Amino acid sequence: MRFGLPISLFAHGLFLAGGIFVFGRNIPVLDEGQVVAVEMLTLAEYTNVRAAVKRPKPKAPEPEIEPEEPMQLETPMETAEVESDVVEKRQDVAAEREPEPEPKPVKTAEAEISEPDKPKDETPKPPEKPVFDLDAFSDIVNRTRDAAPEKNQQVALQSEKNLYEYADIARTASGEGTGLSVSLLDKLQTEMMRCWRESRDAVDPETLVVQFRLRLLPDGYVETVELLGETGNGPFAAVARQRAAAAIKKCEPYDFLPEENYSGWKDMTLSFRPRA
Amino acid sequence: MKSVLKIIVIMMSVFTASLAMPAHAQLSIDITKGNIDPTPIAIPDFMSTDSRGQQIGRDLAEVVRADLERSGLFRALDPNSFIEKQTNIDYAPTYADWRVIKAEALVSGRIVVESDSRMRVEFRLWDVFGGEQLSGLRLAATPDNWRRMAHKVSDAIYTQLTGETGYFDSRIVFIDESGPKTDRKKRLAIMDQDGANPQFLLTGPSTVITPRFSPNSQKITYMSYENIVPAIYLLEIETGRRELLGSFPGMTFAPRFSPDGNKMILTLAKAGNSDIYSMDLRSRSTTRLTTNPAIDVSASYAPDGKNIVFNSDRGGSPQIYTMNADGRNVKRISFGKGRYNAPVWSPRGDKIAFVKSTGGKFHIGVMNPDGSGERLLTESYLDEGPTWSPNGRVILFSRETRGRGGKNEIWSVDLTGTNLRRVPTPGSASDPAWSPLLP
Repeated sequence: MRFGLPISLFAHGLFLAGGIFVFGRNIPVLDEGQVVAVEMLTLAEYTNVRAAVKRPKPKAPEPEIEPEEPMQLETPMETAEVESDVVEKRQDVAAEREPEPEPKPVKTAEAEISEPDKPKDETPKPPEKPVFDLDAFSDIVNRTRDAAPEKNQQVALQSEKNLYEYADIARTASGEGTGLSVSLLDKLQTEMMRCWRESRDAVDPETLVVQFRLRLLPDGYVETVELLGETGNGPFAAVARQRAAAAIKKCEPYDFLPEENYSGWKDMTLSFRPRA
Repeated sequence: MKSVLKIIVIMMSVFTASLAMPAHAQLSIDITKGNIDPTPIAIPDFMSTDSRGQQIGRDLAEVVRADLERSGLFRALDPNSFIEKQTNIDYAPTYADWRVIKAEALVSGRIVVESDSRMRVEFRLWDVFGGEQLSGLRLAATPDNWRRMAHKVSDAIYTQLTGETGYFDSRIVFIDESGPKTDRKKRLAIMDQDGANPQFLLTGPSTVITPRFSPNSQKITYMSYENIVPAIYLLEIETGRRELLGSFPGMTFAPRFSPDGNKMILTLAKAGNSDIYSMDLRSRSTTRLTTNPAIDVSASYAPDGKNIVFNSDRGGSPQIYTMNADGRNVKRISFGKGRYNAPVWSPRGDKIAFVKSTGGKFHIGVMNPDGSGERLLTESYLDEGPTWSPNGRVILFSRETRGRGGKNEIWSVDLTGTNLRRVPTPGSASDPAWSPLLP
């Protein structure tokens, strides 16, 4: 018994050492993979789509008004007789609200359309529930469409600026890339890459950064070009500036940018940054 | 008082921040990758009013087109595709006509033959998309010298469009080889960098090897086996004046010049040990720079003259080392597999060219002066003897083809390794040495 603990410790130690010896050798050395630079960006900055939330389902009105319960406790004992009136009135309110049908007409319509041949439910429906007539509804829709076609178009609400953006309504643009989707930005970048002759043969090309500000006309032609800044000096810097300016001109007209998003691209900054 | 100071500091911060902020623009795009295809350039024949000038104008434009094409950085457009036929270079071209054929630059020039001994070459370089003149130049020479004028025009265009100095108005000395491998005659010859105007520099049957150009004058050194003991000569190309610098038994390469042309660096074998020495060309005194029992050879100065790169087997195999010009601070810079030889420092200072043999193949490669960024530009049965263009962008070397009937050729490759071309020579040729730009 005196040697039980030391023997146990020794045996455990031996077991662990053996484990390390056996399995330690078999740990495969991972190949050095190529590091791929990943740039994290916020989607909202590059799209005209604001983050949207799902419109919450309208809840059915609850028959009893629970929050008013504590009021009863605070009601002075002197007015105890009136309490029944209050309760009655409350019941009246509840009774008035109770018969209101659950607001799920669209769901009903969907069910009707998707399953037209299903035998009608034999269970008697509550008489107060309106019967949905698809033909009648369709007539109404057609009449509305004919009478006021503008009402059939989705438009952004004027009052939605500070509200949630619901996924089922049109949304206004926001973010840095207002008006230009990711694919259009890619297109612009690709076109500039095609037009720009990189100064790769220069000494330390990565130091030759040239930044221009462009103002474009709606037809995609350049209205003004302004040199914002450049790094480096000497003949290589002069050539880098000339090549960047030529690229801007060569890519003209920028008519691949959608005119409806003109406000998003009429004024832009292009930075030509060669990589080493 | 304290609060007033605080307000002032805050106001200044806001003002500074507003200055530092870039001009407001809604959309900001970084372009990090561009097109590296050769620049399309239109070079119509240079115009002239007389028939002799017109012939020179055609030939000169052809040489300029060939020069720029050979650099790998330009693509000369076919003259048949030109829409506009300019009649006067003093008026701006119709840029739209040149944009249509996708020319990015246009060279319009004229030849004015003033007399039998004087000719004027004038040209303007236009930025087709920028819609402006980039440069205009007037050169004068004898009509016989039209080829050099063409190279000077090419240099001016190259410099304006790349930012680099050109290298077209330069020459190459090389060893012209004739006869079978076992009994080969090797004669010193010179030609333009494009292979035109080849001529022998020396008469007689003596065997000559490893010519080296002075970096700032039209002088070369070379090694001659006129006698049993190899001798080093200094030759002034323009005058043909030749001077014996000394006889050095055991030497296998000619010395190289220092950047200022006043010194030379060479290997001398004394008591069976090869070490690197510098020689003052005025006093002819030598200074020993390495004292290692290993073989130290192939030394080359950096363009600032402060450092030297050389080849040594002190580590067990031939590798590349650098040291200060006084021989101190020796550092090994090559660590790859294989044997490294013949390092040469670029005139631009940013690269060292070398020969590497590995896996039974020879390569011309470049690395940074600290040994990083090693890149192999060529691969063949035998590539050797790299020499830099005056602007440090192109390397010439000799390539030997395999077999009994194998012959030597001179090839060029640019720093990217993508523009590999054979330089035309009259016959078999080796050991090229590129001159500095002609004055």
